[in-house]
Amino acid sequence: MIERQASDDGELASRARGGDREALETLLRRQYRVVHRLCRRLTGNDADADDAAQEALLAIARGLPRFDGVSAFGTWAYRVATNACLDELRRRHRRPEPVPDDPAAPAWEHPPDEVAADRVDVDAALARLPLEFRAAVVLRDLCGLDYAEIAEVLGVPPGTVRSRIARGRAALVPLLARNQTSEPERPKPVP
Amino acid sequence: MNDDDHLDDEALSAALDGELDGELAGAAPAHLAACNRCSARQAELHAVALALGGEPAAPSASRRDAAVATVLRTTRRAPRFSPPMLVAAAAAAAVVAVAVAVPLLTRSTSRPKTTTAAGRLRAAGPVTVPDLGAIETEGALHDLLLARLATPARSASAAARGVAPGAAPAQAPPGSAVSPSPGGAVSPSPSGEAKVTDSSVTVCQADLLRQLHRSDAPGYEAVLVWRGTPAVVFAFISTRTEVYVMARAGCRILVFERFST
Repeated sequence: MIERQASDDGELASRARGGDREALETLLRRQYRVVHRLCRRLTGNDADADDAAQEALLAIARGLPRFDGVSAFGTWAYRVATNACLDELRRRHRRPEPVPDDPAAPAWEHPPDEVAADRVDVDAALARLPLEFRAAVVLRDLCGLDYAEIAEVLGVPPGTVRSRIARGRAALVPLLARNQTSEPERPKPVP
Repeated sequence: MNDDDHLDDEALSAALDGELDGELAGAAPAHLAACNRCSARQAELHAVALALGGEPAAPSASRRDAAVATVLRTTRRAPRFSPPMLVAAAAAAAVVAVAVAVPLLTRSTSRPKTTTAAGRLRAAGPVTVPDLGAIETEGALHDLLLARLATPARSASAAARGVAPGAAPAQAPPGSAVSPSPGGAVSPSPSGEAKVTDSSVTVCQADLLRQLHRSDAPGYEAVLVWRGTPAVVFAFISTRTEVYVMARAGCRILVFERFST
């Protein structure tokens, strides 16, 4: 499931650090897909994912001089991207509700995605998880990282990762259960 | 383990991932094979894991190309912030740094001694300080700034870098388009995030907030890594009683807070 280009990416990263713009471009193009799908699941919609992925890519490019090569490049990139997404989500969470009928307010509101019902269900269910749990289960089940890697990405002990993944999945069981029923329901709007 | 000891969600979940260790790693498979309750619960957790593993819609190639092009364009210039922001009077720099740092760091409502100093230094532009390194929390940010700026010697050496005496600081319009928010001592601005869209051009909100600072008032600037993101932190005294702090990565605002002194 997980595409690892560890040695290639590590080499590209060191060339990019040395000022090789072509290596940087190749690296960024490769990373975009990986970064975007992480951001897509963490933010829950395409527009926010686009913004967060752009920021994450920028953070990776700017952070390259600080990439020490001790951890795998992929793990490091996930760490930077996850932080970019979580920062974006925290800022949005902190943002006050826009005043209705205020013409300036809806600038950052995006219409609900017109996508398949099962995708909406996953996003709607994930939206009800605390960020810390959401990040842990997405890094595990979508990105395929192991617990030690997730611990490094999130900066928490492996025992915490294990607990967050278990509690996150358990919380999602009732929310995603209708995906397994034979009678599909209309997705409910995200609260 | 006894057959009557059921596995909890954490063990069932970790077993799915091959992350069980110790005694449980050996005992869990046999228990799961024999226990309907645990195997049924694990199947539920497994279904969730599979649902989460479904690929979200892939971004278009044009979206990727645009994002990569933007990053390449943005990172071409080596300096992290533009020259006018570096301008300061070297002689006043050390005092300015202290004047700004102390009200920022104390976060108290008591009247600081620095108020007079701040008033005396209105002719100074922003002071730049060296790279502050990796910072994870706002508390750590304050502590680190205190450590770097509290002693005049450190501040003087800090100010000596990147300072161009005599160069004119960029003037922000006296009446800025963005007004600071009313609110508590440590409150995020309601307008401190997102982008402001003009009829013809999208303006970076971070730039607008940056213009809140009148260049003749004390301020300072430093680079740092905020939770893994390279950023610029910028702080200034807006009035005698308010200090604004903004950390940004490009147009993205990571921290924007106001502190009463």
